[in-house]
Amino acid sequence: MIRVMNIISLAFRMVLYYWKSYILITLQIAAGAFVIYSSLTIYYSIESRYKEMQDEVHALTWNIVAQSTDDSDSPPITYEQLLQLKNSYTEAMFPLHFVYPVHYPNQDNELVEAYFIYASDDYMKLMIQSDETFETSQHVYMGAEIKQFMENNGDLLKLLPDTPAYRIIDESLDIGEEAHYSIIPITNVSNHKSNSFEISIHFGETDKKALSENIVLLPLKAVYEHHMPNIEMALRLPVRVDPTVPGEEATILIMQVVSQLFSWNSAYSYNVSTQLQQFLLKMTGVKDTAVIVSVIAIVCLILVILGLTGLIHLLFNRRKQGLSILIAMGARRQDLWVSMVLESMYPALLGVGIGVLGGYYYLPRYVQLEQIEISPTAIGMFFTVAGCLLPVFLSSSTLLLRIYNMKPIKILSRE
Amino acid sequence: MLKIVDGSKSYNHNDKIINVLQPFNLLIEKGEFVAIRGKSGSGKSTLLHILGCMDQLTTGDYYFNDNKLSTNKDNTLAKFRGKHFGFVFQAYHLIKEFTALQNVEAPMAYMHTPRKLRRERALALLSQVGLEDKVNFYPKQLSGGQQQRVAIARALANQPDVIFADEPTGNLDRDNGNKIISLLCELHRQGTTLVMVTHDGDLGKIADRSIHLVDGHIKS
Ligand SMILES: Nc1ncnc2c1ncn2[C@@H]1O[C@H](COP(=O)(O)OP(=O)(O)OP(=O)(O)O)[C@@H](O)[C@H]1O
Ligand SMILES: [Mg+2]
Repeated sequence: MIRVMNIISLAFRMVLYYWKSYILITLQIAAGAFVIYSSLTIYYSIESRYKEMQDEVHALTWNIVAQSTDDSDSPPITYEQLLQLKNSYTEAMFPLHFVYPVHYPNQDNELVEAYFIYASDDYMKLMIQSDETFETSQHVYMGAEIKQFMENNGDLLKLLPDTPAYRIIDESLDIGEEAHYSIIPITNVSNHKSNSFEISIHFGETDKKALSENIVLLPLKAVYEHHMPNIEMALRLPVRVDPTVPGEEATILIMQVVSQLFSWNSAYSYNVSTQLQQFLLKMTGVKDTAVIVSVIAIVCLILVILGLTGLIHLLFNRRKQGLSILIAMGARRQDLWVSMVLESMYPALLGVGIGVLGGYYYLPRYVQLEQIEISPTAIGMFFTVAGCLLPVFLSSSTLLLRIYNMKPIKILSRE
Repeated sequence: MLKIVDGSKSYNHNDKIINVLQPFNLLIEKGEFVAIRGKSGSGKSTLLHILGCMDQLTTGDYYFNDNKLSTNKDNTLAKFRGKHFGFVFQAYHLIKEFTALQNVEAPMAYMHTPRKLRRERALALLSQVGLEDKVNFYPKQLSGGQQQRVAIARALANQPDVIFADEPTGNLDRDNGNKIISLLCELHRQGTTLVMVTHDGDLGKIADRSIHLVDGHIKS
């Protein structure tokens, strides 16, 4: 017991005596520990939130929203570009579709809302699990109610190019300020349009249920052939990544698609739509930053520890005489070694303590990340403490050999 | 009390064997005051270190109170030194990081003397050497003579059987030197065995016995 006390008090006395040499190292280690602890905590906080969200990635349909930055004649995505995307990213689905809300009067002369949807194959696959080639076909699927309306009003075989469905206005109907668009029987106007086209219409022959009563599905290609997708309104390109692709790769894929689209059509800006998705993309960057910060912190720490090791060995040279005297007076060498190791551990411990407590206190107060809770992590603390103390311990341990090889008489005989 | 039989000491220096102490026998009785004298480089310090178990014989055996000492275990030797010997060096060799009091306490710590007893004894010893008002001074705040007196107090800490002093007055002026010598003589009168290396012929006369070293040959 007294032996242990001696070791501890010798180390303590030495640290107090050489505090000027040690204070700088303590501060350096504190700064290093602070940076390491902070970056680890941020990293783990992001990582755990990120993991949570990775699972959500697959349940999501990503929406890339295109917005026109200047007047451009070209659409945000052409049909050929869509095909190209489908070829390059086989692990993803692109259920592209254009939705045109329309209104028509029913039998009771009430205004009913319906949708004309120009749909791609992937959209069909996703929405009604249909594997047929649809987007280039001449097929049209209609919901029961709107079909009824069309049947009652005549020729259904013609659709009007250059006149998006919503533009076919029923003049007899008062729609009011909001200017919703309506459809009227095609026969009423089709004769005035030279380039109208005919398509065969399947009257609910499909048993697929996803169609609501008031939806008309039209081939995607038609929208490109006969009237450009409306570029005034924001276009959404949905992307769905195969669930077998890891979440992180899926995120990267989305980013690649976005930048591919932008390189094709620089007149548009492309963004993922939901906050969660934007967040995921952003966090990939933040995570990288956390890693970089950690690396920098570790480099700093290595420098600090090298400094401390150097200092310990330097102090050892100054200390040789005192150690020799203690040996002459009956001290065991291993006790002296332990006390030298302890001596270097005190400032390191103090430094780590200051750094970690500083991080623990200040981090949640001054670092706020959207949707992430920065909470202290035991694992971060553990790695910081271990990462700082272990190298100090190892480097001061190298003194063992020097203490054992020390020849007290030689040192004491020198005058 | 201290006995060396067929002892010798040589160094291997660049593959050349240097015989520092030629084969010798030596006996020092309890309570004796022995002066070791000789020219510089004659091996005085070497002999003192061997007697003080700081260094080992190349050949021969060392007996302490007729017990043969196995001189190869570092820790055993350290403990032995702490218990039975006290050292005074020409260069004082106080621990610079310790105060006078802490310096005197240090050897007792390694003999596992309880803290309170250490403190009391150290204070008593410091007042015995006339430094009761300097207990909390660091070595660099003390004069050479004062430092050497602290060193003597420290050598006495564990109530040693033998005190080894290597030219304890070598770095001091005559006045301070005399003080140290009278301190040592006082200790000797109280019964402590004293082995002292000295250049000073006068000091040799105070001693009970002188050992002369001439080129490694011991002449009592
Ligand atoms: N480690 C060593 N290796 C080789 N030779 C040594 C070693 N240590 C001491 N010597 C030699 O041993 C001889 C005796 O040295 P020692 O220190 O005992 O002399 P000394 O009588 O105390 O001299 P001084 O009066 O100058 O202190 C010297 O010639 C020295 O060169
Ligand atoms: Mg000498």
